[in-house]
Amino acid sequence: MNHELPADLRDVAAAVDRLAAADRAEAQGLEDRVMAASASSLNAGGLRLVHAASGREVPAPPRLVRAAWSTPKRLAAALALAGAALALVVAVRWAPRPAPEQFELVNAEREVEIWLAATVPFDTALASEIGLLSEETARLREGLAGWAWNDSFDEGSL
Amino acid sequence: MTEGDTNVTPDASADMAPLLAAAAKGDGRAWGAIVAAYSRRVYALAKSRCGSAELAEEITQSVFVTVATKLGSGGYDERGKFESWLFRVAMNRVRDEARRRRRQASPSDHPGLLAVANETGPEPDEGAMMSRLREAMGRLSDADREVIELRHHGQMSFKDMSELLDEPMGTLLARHHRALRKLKRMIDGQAEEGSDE
Repeated sequence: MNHELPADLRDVAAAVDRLAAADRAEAQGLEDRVMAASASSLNAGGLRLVHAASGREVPAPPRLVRAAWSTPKRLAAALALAGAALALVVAVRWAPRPAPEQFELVNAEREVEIWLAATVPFDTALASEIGLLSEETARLREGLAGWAWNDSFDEGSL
Repeated sequence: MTEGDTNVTPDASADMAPLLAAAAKGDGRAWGAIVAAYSRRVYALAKSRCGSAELAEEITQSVFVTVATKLGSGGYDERGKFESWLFRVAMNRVRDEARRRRRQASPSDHPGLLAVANETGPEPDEGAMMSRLREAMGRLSDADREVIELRHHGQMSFKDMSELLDEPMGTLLARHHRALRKLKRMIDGQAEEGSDE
């Protein structure tokens, strides 16, 4: 086989031949398993794998699943992503929120306060002090009133 | 002579046409003869490249499933180039696997380490030589290694290699010489390093 080689390369070529021969010889019963895996493909097609040790057929899973199992990091990443998505759905769906009637009441109070602040100036500090308004609402009123009167002043000056 | 050499000659493809025609019609014995002639050559090629017996067998099985499917469905047109076609299928599978392994590479996948781990030489001196040889092959460039593996593990003729790799025979002969010379230098260098210690 190595007759075309220069004399000084024949020893290394022979060594490579011995290595290759050892590889070819090592798989006991390879032909039987290849036959078992492939014979039906002549007519039917499709992939069959035969386990080297037992000689039994290994069910070939779908390509995508095989790829996923063969890359544990990808599988772990996919699972983590699915978990995060599930957690997000749970958080959005079952998060605590105000009851609808409570929400409407708050809005109605705000609307009254905004109307009062814009139209009826009165001493919000006093109102807060005597308990008519909460401190927060008083601050809101002051801000809105300032804005409303400044706006009226500007219009008047024009 | 080893078990893998009993049914094989590099020029076997010349007489393949009747076998291929019979196998394509579902003749199990013809298909068995094809498997006997080529499966160990494909296996050795895959084993040398991947360094894993298990993976080499999986690749070999899938190559023959592909070939059988093509034959059975009329997807192969016999023009006396069966061997180069078969090894093209095998090399594509080996390259796919190499790409997949590079994507998932870990430090333990070093070809030299794999080669040593899979080394099976029964005699200590021969075993050490085979180990050095595998390690040296792992250090060859892909192109050099491909020529060595197709020629020695796949037992291909330079004519079939020329068809497979689409290169002139003269170029392949020169590449083969060059790759062997590199191997020889590496092995001699390792032997000198070993004797210095």
